[in-house]
Amino acid sequence: MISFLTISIIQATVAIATPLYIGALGGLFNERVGVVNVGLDGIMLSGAFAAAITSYYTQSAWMGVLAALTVGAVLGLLHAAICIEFKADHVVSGVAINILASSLTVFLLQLLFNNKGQSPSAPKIGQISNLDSIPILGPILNNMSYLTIIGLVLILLSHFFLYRTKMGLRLRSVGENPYAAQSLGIPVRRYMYLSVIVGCALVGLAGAFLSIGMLNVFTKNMTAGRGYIALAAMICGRWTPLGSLGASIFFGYVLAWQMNAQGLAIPAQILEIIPYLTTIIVLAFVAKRARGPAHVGKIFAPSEH
Amino acid sequence: MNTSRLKHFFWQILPSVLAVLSALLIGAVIIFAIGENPLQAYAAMFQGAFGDPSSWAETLQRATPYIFGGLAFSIATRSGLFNIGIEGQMYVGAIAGAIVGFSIHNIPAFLHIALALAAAALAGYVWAIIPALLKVKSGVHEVISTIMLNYVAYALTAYLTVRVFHEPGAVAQTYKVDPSAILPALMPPNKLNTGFIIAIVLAIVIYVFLFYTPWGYNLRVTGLNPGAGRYAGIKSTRIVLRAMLMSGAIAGLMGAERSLGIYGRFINSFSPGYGFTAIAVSLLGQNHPLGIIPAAILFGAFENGASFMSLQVNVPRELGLILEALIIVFIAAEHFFRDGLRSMLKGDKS
Repeated sequence: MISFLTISIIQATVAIATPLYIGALGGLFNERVGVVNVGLDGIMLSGAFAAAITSYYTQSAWMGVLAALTVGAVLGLLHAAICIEFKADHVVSGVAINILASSLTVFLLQLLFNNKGQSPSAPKIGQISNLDSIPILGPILNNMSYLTIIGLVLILLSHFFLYRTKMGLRLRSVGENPYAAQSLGIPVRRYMYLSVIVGCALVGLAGAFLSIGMLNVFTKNMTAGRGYIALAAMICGRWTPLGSLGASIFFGYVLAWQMNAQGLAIPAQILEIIPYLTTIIVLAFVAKRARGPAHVGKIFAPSEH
Repeated sequence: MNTSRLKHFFWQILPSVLAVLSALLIGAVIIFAIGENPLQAYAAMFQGAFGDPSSWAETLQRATPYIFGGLAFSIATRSGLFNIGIEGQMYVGAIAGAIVGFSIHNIPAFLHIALALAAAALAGYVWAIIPALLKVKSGVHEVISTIMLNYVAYALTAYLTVRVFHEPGAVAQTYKVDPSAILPALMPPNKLNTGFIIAIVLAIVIYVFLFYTPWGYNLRVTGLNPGAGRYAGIKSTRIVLRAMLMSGAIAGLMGAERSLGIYGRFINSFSPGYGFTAIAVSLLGQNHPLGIIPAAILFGAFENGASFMSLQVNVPRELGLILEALIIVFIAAEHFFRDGLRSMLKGDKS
């Protein structure tokens, strides 16, 4: 019990899980309106970059957060335009965004700082402090980034929005059957655009956590595949905010072990694959219950239907 | 060639040509924005890519994995599958080839190379069995399963490299393969090797397979319309399985070309994303085996030329990669181009 749930493991779990559940939530807003987004990793990377350099130039971490949201939204608009307007393959667009993000961030690093590896250090987002006096919760909450809390609030708000409001119901109906939704007078395309843009802005926010939440610097390709783990968390969480949160915390816990694994007989590489294997197993064995929105990845072409 | 075939060819390559031109145009704006002369930069890029025989060799060397990868992607795509797992299949192929390369000794070179390549193809094949079976048995979408398997492949090869076959030293790499397993260089000192020839031959073989055999016909019909294929008595499940496995095997060869032809060993996380860029190459080549060759050479030229360019003018060499990414964005909008232009040229008001 003690060694499996120490304060440091809990803190590491939360830190690793934060960009995962914020990213998964962003991915969910894409998929819930029927848009597949495998570009999460690239959008996260762009968000991390935008946050770090804006925070560096303005000396304000919150301006960095705003920049990350904006860059995420812009990439979301690009993705939405390619998928909805140009009726292109969603996965192709995602792959394009990933390649664009990894090359453009290095290009700009070189141009701005003459350094391909990393940005200068920048102010980071604040953390909760001075809670040592509270028993048990105090040490856990201490040093927790404000973004972690904001992420949790966003998860709860999204849950309420999707399942307790009329707009949320409509949004979900767009991903299940856009033609039926349209016939009921729902502005399908507007829902798709807005949901993808908001979702991608959240993915940018997840990136901001990586660069100026956990650290205070942007490093080349710093997402290291976290966008894909967020995608995995979304799937394992069955496309729901609370499920995504649960899966992210589970993955965060497994990955937190990596840091404490020196004394362990399990090689770090084995722990690394657990999120990915879990996703494959979930899809293979509970595929019927783990279905995504029915219209996900398909092209919405009202005139041809 | 009669006019209707020429016309067909024109319409087929037009979106690719427009995508390249649009990307170059945006690239020019970027170069201009950072205060350099776009024409001068592109001239330097062209010279770096094709200026003399040794730059040609480097361009073709860089194009080789994209030919393999483009072929791997196209054959899956033609059957209706999106194989985003080429990267992982390439990694397991690369390490399998290297293991055979340094584990077997004292056999003739041609045999050693053949065995190593076979092992690489087999490894890629096995790695593709998982998503293929998940697809046909449980209906798991191959995009998700292959993405997940990429990461499993990274971790597996990292484990094998660091814990099992690690050559002592600071670098995460395996032992060197025996000289008999090295793919011979074509234009030393450049690393361009016989893997390039193998890639070209493979492209021709796949072209013949796809367009001149009943198996290829069935594969294309299944990809275009699975329902129609079933009506025509084509067993689409078997075809989808076969296409995915062929795709994986080719991706395995793609890895072996790197480990046996370039590095002479397996190096942990050696790829700058070959398997993903290969998707762009295949799309630019219109998923056509013979279209993939010029597309891959263009990408090789971007990367090689951009390195040279960055020494001549003050533009980071990542510009080459940005051009590649822009091309895929414009290719994604292919229908927009094709339909829009068609209606513009034909005065179609609909």
